[in-house]
Amino acid sequence: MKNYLNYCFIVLMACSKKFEPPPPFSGADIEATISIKQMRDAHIPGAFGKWVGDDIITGIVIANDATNNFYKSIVVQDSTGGITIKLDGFSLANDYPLYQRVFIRLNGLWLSEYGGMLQLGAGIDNNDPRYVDLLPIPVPLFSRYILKGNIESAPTPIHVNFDQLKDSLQSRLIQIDSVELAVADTAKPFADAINKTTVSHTLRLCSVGTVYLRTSGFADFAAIKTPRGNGSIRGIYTVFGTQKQIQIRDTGDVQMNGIRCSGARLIFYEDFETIAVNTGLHISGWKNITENGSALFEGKWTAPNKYVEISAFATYQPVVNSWLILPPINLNNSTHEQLSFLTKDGFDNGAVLQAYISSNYDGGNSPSKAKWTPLKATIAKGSVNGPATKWTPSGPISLQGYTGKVYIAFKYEGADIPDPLLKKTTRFQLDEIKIVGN
Amino acid sequence: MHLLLFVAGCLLLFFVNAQKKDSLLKTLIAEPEDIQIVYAEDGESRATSGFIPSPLHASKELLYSAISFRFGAGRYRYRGLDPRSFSYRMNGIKMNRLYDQQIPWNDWGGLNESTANQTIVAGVGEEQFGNMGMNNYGLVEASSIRTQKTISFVTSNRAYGNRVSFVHAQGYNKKQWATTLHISGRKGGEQILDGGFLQSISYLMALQKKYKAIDLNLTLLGAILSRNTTPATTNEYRFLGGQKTNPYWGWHQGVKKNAGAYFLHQPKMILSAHYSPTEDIYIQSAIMYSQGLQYTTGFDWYQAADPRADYYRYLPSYQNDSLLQHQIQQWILSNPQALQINWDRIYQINSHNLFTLQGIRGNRAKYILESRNRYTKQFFITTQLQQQITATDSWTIAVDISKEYVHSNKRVLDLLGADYYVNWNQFANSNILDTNAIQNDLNEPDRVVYAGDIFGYDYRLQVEEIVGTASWITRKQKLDMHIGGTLNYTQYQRIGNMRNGLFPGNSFGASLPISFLNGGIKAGITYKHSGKQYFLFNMLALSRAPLVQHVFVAARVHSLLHPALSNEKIFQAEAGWIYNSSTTKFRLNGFILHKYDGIDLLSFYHDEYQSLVSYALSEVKQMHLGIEASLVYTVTPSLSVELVALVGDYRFTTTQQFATYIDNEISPGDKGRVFIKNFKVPGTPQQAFSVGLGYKPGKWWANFAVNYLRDYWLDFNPVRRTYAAGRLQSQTKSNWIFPQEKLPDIIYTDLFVGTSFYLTKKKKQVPIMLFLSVNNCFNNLFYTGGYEQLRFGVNESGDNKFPTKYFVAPGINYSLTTRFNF
Repeated sequence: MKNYLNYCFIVLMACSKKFEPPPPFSGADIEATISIKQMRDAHIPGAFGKWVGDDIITGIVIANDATNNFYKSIVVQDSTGGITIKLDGFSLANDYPLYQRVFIRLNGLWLSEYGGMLQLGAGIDNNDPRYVDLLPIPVPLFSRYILKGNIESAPTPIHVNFDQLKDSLQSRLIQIDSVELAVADTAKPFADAINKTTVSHTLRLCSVGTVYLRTSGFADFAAIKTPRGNGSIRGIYTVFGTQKQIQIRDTGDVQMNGIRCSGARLIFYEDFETIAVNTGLHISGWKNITENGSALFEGKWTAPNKYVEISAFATYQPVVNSWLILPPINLNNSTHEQLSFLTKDGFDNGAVLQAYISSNYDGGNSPSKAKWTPLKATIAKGSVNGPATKWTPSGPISLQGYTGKVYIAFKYEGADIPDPLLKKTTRFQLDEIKIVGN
Repeated sequence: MHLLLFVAGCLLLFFVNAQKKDSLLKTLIAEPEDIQIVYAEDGESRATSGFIPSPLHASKELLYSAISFRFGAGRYRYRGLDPRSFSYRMNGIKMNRLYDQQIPWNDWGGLNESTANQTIVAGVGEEQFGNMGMNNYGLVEASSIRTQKTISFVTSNRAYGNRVSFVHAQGYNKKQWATTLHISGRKGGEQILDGGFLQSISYLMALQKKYKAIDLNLTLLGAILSRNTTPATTNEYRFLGGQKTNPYWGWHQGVKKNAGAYFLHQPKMILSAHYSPTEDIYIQSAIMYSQGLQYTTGFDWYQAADPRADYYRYLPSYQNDSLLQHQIQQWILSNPQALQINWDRIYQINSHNLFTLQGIRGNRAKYILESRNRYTKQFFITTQLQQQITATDSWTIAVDISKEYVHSNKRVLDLLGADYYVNWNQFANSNILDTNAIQNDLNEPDRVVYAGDIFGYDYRLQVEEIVGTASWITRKQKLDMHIGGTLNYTQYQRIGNMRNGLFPGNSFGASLPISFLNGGIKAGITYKHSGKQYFLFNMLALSRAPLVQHVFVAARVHSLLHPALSNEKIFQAEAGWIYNSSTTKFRLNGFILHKYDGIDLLSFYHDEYQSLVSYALSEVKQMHLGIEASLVYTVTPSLSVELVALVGDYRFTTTQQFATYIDNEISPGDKGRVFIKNFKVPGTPQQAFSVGLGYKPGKWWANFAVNYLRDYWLDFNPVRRTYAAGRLQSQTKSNWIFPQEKLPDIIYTDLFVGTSFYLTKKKKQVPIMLFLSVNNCFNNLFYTGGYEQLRFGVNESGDNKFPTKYFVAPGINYSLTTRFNF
């Protein structure tokens, strides 16, 4: 009987006329008569203007409500300009996905500014003459005013600096490079997802200027934390009064992982200017360990600079292994950490100075028991006939991927034996050890 | 040839009439043409000499035939009683579904000729202990169907359109076997509703054998019905789209595709036996087995706009700005497809939503068509013993044991161009705090579903009912008296097949069974003053279990029980006077009925909670009182005048208690009182009047009636009568939310003409019957019902955002039956 019922069901489904999906949409057979710039230029600033005349603009959708950061609106641009269109519906991204070409019949639509931002709507609400409002296009009129073309490829954003941010760029897809969030705004949620309120974070350009990263509390990504670093941001340029704003479509629009231009936070710094010279280095928290042989890292002074130095020379020992280990460093309160230091070599005959990092070193006198990972640093070399004249910068060494307590160590490996081919007694000098982060 | 011309002429005439004005909507509930009342053969009169015969069954009475027949189109319900107060017994088996206690007329729709043999008893009755309303006793056994070999053709402009029916009923043959075969087909289209469709095949086979005192019958019957669903619509929507407009269809590649379909096939097999071991004892037993499916179809959607074309935000009234209202109105009037479903848009969206889930990459459907299925299995047994104890006294005892399984679920019917759908709860999405909330079934989270797969909800209700009744009746020379009692045991249980993400603790598996024990007593007396005059008095007191569909507040998602379960108590008293003479038949009744401790349950989508919400109502108290009168006056032997007047007052006598349950939230919602004291009982006109003329000059007959119904109150939304609602409305306008809406008075005129004659063909005479019925001759517009939308709110100008939805009666409509008797 059960089978019979299922059979009934299947027969019925089969009997009901099978509809084929319609052929792929080929796009509206319509052309623009004016550009978006022409439309914008025709607007008298501050006025509510009803468009009269059978003009059509076209453009592609560059923002919608797919992540709910844009509420009841889509943003459309052509090569001359962009415009925000207020639409009185939800899930607009279904009908107007990103990069969908649309044609907009302007006749009967209204243009007005909201906080200086030019928008297109279907009417005005002047019930309260003090606050006249532009009304969004009602759902049943979407098809009257908006015709759809094909989905096109993503347009290249316009790269701008602060001086180029003019009202003519409103509602356009822009990209700002070398930009970072103000320190107070880093690692904060994009917006207030709990109270569903909009948040504007301050974005500082490395060159000059401030724009605001504006995010709705309804955005799907509102609870995600903002990045600490420096980089580029892409989004829709909007204004509110005199405030210049950028509104992103999704977190993929934010690529800010670099070191901040405004001066990164110093996590660790040692320039050895207060040490005792010509003796084994002794700073509280540091470890200066001779694992094999007796060569210690020693404080040195060449006016006006103090630094540390090590060499196996004149130790007469076949194996010289020495460690200089920095105090433990906590990476929990920072991101994008970078290590850098300076080295200088002298009488280079093949000894090695190498920087390491470890997460499991116990702080004791047997560093070899821990797991040390070499760090990719540029170390001075090749000064065979005497000391080098210049310090060699190590370059920025990223510590990304490490969290919690870590140790940084410098290990010297040399040998002082008579055979000139096996003798490794290079003198290394080390200074300006620095860890920065965001 | 003459006949053909005549038929063609009739058809033309009525098509012209029909085309003049649009026909109107009809509800999905059993339509009057399905319930053709044909009266039982003359009831066996127990009268012996010296006895004054008792009053006849209701079927013969104008009062009751008018209620079923004339006032049906105006949705008049006898004494304002709820549907569960009516019953239908077929071959002894009570056919009312246990799920909602309603009579499933559609299960055997289209078999009019075979199911016509019915006796109707108004009220609980004397010999039986029936329901308070009308009780139909039908015999659909091979020998009880009138012996015939007929073909009937019906042409009409009604929803059921055209019908062909073939009946071959052979009475008992020499070997005491009787057989009946009945097949009928119905086909309807857009007569009543744009985008409407209807196909139906009905069948009946009966085989009967008489063996000594035993009479054994097996009947198999059913109807396969597939038709459009009928939406209630707002006045605004009909103003824009016309009276026949229907928001459920849209053009799709040149074809009208309808999203709202209803399917039904619930075949029944009834084995019945009659046994008279002696003259005085009569035993009737029957077993019914029935198994079938019904479903309606509709949209489900996920992260997308409401696809229904009559969604309130898509209509002009949603705008606060009058210019925009006007603009939308103009746009819709010049683009009528804006009132229909935009299938192309749905297909386009569904085919541009690439998504990878559980390793499956494809277009995840934003919209689908779903079927909401109900698989019903019934196993009913009845047995009844009637014994004539003395010449005047007899008694009847009966037992009914019924078991019903109702398995409800949703299936994906059509992915509408997408590749798959996911078993997620679209409304729970806003609940970001619990990531499981979105899962319809935690046992199989994120399950990808394809066409035919079950999703959404899946549960089974098991209902058991055992009813025992006993009646005793005595018929003395001047006095009939009867007394009876009934006991009723009911048990309900829910078995969930899904573990809902919001209610993981009480959605999966079997709930505890819950049972109710009820009873009732009746007593009545008829004083037979003379063969012309009778005085009646009847009393009834009974209690009823709540319906299973009200016991579980949201059986879709969990097995929580209504917070104030109680058995409903009913007390009724009625008195009547019957006067019959050679020219006058007069009947006058008065009744009063009290109901206490009723419960109710309403479910709807609540805008504010963004969820399906159930309102559990309790402490429902009602009082129904009324006077019923009918008069048939025979002017000449061929002309009679018929008058009917039914005046009632049915109202709620107290405030009610409500508790809110939100499908998408774990904790119960608001509680409080519903302020509806003295609100009228909705769903039926409370007053009905009819003036009719019957004319039987000889070979043909005609009946003409003007019917007038009034005091029809709309189904109201209790939520609007709560304190919270009062606060909301008082911020805008004063008191507009509170009054109950009364539907306009209804008036319509019906005409029935019939004749029969012989067609002589090769010396063989073929009797032909023609029967024409024209309803609503003057094409009056009226509502057959409606409801305040259960959600409510006000827009900025203080108007109701969710206006009343109405069902509208068809305009002038006809059906012409031609029956050939071979």
